[in-house]
Amino acid sequence: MAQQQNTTRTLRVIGGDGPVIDAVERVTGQAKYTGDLELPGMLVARVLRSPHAHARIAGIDTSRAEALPGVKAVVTHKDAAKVPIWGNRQRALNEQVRFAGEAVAAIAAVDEETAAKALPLIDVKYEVLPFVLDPEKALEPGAPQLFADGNLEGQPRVLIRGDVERGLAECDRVIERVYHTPTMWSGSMEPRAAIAQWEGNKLTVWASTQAPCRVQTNLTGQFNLPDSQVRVIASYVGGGFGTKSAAHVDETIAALLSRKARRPVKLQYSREEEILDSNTRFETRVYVKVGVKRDMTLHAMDVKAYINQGAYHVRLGGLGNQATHIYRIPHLRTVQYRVHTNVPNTGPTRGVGDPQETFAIDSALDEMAVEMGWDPVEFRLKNVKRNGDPIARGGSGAEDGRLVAQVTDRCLEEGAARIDWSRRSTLPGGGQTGPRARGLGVAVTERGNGGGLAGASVTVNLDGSVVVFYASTDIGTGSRTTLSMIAAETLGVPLASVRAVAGDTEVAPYDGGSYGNRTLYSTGRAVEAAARDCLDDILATAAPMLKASPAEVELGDAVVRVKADASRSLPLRDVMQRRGRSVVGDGSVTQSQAETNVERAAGAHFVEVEVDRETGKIRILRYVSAHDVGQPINVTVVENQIEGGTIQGLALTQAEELRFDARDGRCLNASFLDLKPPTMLDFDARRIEPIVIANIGEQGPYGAKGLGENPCHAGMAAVANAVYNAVGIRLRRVPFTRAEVLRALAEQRPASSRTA
Amino acid sequence: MHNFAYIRPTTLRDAAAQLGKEHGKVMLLAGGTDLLGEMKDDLRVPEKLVAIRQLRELQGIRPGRGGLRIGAATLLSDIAESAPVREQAPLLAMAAETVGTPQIRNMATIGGNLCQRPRCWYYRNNYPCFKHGGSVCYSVTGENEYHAILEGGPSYIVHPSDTAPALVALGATVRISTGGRERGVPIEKFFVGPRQDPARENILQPNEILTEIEVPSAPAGSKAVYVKEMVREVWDFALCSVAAMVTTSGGIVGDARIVLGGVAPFPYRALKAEAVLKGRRLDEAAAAAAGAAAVDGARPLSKNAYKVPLTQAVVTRALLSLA
Repeated sequence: MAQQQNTTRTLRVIGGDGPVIDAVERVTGQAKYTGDLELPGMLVARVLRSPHAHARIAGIDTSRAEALPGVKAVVTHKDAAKVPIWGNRQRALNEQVRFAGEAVAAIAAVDEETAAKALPLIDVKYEVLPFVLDPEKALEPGAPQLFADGNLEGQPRVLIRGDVERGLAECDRVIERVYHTPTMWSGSMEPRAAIAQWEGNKLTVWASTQAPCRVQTNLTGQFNLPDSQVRVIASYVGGGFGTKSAAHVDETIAALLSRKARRPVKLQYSREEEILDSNTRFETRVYVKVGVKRDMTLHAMDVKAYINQGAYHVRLGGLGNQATHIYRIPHLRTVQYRVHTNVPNTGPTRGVGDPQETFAIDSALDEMAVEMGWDPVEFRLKNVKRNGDPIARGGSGAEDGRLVAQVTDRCLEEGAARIDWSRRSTLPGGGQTGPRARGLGVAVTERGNGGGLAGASVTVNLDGSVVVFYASTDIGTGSRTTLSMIAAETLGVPLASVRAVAGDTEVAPYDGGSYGNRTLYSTGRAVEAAARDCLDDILATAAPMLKASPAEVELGDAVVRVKADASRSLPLRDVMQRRGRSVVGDGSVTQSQAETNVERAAGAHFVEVEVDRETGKIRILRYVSAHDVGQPINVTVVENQIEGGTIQGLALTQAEELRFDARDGRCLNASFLDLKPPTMLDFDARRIEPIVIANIGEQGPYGAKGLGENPCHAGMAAVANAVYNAVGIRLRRVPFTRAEVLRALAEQRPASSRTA
Repeated sequence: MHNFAYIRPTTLRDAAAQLGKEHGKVMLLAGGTDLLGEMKDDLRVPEKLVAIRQLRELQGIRPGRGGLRIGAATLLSDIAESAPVREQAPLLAMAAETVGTPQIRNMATIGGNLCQRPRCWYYRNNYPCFKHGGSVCYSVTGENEYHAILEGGPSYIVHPSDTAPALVALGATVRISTGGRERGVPIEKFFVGPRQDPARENILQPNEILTEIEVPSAPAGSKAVYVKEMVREVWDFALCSVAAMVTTSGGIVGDARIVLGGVAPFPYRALKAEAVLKGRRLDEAAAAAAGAAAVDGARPLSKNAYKVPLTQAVVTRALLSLA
């Protein structure tokens, strides 16, 4: 990958702060989300969903529904192409349904009432099949099979370095633990929505998606159309967190209905549908064996993880970063089984498997520190990878790269200083009497940045104003703002003269989308390149006007001037008007792991909790989130991301588990009341202290790193570790409900461990 | 939601005249914060809704015999903020303030809060349980983390109301009208347990309207508190709650009323805990003894044993806060 061009001049726009540029539109309701849009003649869609966790559709009769006045189209699996959605096993509508809540048929009608009335008129004959919810049970002989090739997705994913058996045998101490995170809600405030419109053979879909180009690619496959005939638009998106990071069934169902009805169709998911059919956070059961030497070095780690992918997976979700990349461990093995069961489809959700894996790894390390009487921060500082350490580039685990721009140690040190770690009691409870006890906990995490094909274009208009076009989106991460800042900085114009058009495949070049810490890191590089392309053109145009060569002129504050003689200058607006043609810059870039230098972004979380031994209530008193962000583009956006991600991670400690009835496999709590996502009062943002570790990276735009995922990783582990420090109970299953905490307190006895 | 007829009468008599003889066909609509959700989820499919929130006879907080008379259509937010309620029955104001969210309290009425349906997720997901006229309680061998530890069986729902425990502790009386005939019922007798009728939670007949709640003033020398434990800080139903009112004289407890919410199918009066306190000084030992007595007889299900120590702690602390 090309190194970023070194700029020696002072940054004027980047590194500043201030609200996102579309804040007013968003908070005043001016911003139009997909569900807000109305097209002339538009129909309303509703989806019939399976009441069974696993069934074959033996027969389906839609004639009664179709006969209802106002019903304009009904589609079933017979109408859907036998083409999977986005490399997935799932088709838009399947003949075999694999979770309770899976789409069976859909109706487009003149209004919602008619559509709702027509739904029960669809006569479905189900052949009910046995189901399985537990990922380990799903691998047992005789388990109900979801797919002809079994429940295991592909081969187990294995990362190996060193010799883990020999390593464990060489350790002075080995502990073995298991940690469990259930299927959990993935958290978008805006439920999925899609509007489809056909004009002849041209399909336009407005969708609530993070990845318009991926949705476009899927639709071209579903309907056998060239890219030029499919336009996907995602203007404003109310959160995605990974669940909208690829095509899903809703866009295709809307397009099928619209094609059949010959009218535009809107499919707006309800909250319940958003919870049940939106690629939620996957369950993990992680077995960790960790071994140390007496000198505090981590020597061996053996991790076996069962990942409950649910009925389908929108993109393969896995673990592996935390065990592999954070610590220097000579002997390491992680084995991951990605298993299909009859819980709803899952997908990457903020951090993908990293929050779940951080919970396991950094809880296990805390348990080891307790066993050995070590300070958890000191133990981590002794073992975290430092700049220049070898690190794995690819998926094999072999350490063929070199870690650069890494500051895990600084995150730990600055976070520990902020929370005043030295006051931590080494004994659980530390002699605190009374029902309430306080404790401190720490967890470390990290993640890579973006990657893949990114594209953007920049237009400088005849009046000198600038538009940035990009086909990834702003899902609330502030990318309209930060990408505009990159364009402004690169061109040398004020931010106010830049506008960003997000999420339209017809006006912007291909871009992978907004997920995986990549919009700023990858699309940002494309914007920088596109703006530089424009700048070259502008300087070439302006130079003869100033009787200089292009190398002798520069653009700053929207004025082109001769570097050696600032009195020779022309406002950009004059340059553009004399030029008489817009300037268009293209910026497609590809980032891959071909580079030997590997840069990743670390974070360390510190929390002080208060545990009520009698009521089981855990309160967060203070929370310090220290993150490496590379060069901050907009400090306000950075701090918002850290606070938001931290709260989303903490939410997993309190509730948000999807609960299923073991007898029929149905989800019991698909509502905000019963899932209990936190309110503003549960995790007070004022108690969260972001620490922005400024550290210029090598490969992102202006040295920035991605940050979207990381702040969500460490909450579960940090809180579990702090709870142990407070009251001496070890929580190995999230969420930390009253039931879990009070049961653990009731069973409390001196910590025991197995020694190798 | 299915279609329904909507009637907006102007007098209580006209409203009552709309009512039928069968549960569920004609239903009363006050704040609608529970009923409309049930209708959207197809749990209730009434043919006709009779709006009563506007009825003059159901409005207002007025002085009554030895206390207050609160119209059944009075908003929870009005009750929480009412000076007379805060002065004469502060326990009720405290309880009303913990319900739902400000938006819900601005819509929901006290009558509706007493008559709301259970939050059990099997009921709310339309499982054919006792509450839907069936003969199974799905929680018993299912997901019962939030279910009853006291007085459960054959249905194990918990009563979701916050104002009900407070009103039971205060010894309120509810007034019920058929339009012509009117009767007063001590609120403890208003609620029914599952052994009496597993399909319903109160005695209201299909042709009856809850019109008013008579709340006696808290006795001289009394102190009261409402404590509610939730998963979230706000916008949640109780894991357990306690309405406690203790009257002391010369430092000795003369009378104690301890009523639990969220742990039994009806507001559960912890008589043993009350008895423990009477004649004693309210100190740490007495509060702890009463806390233990409050959960005496608890029979938890497979996943809700935590509610026993939780309730015990909440009762103990509530009482200590009154010492």
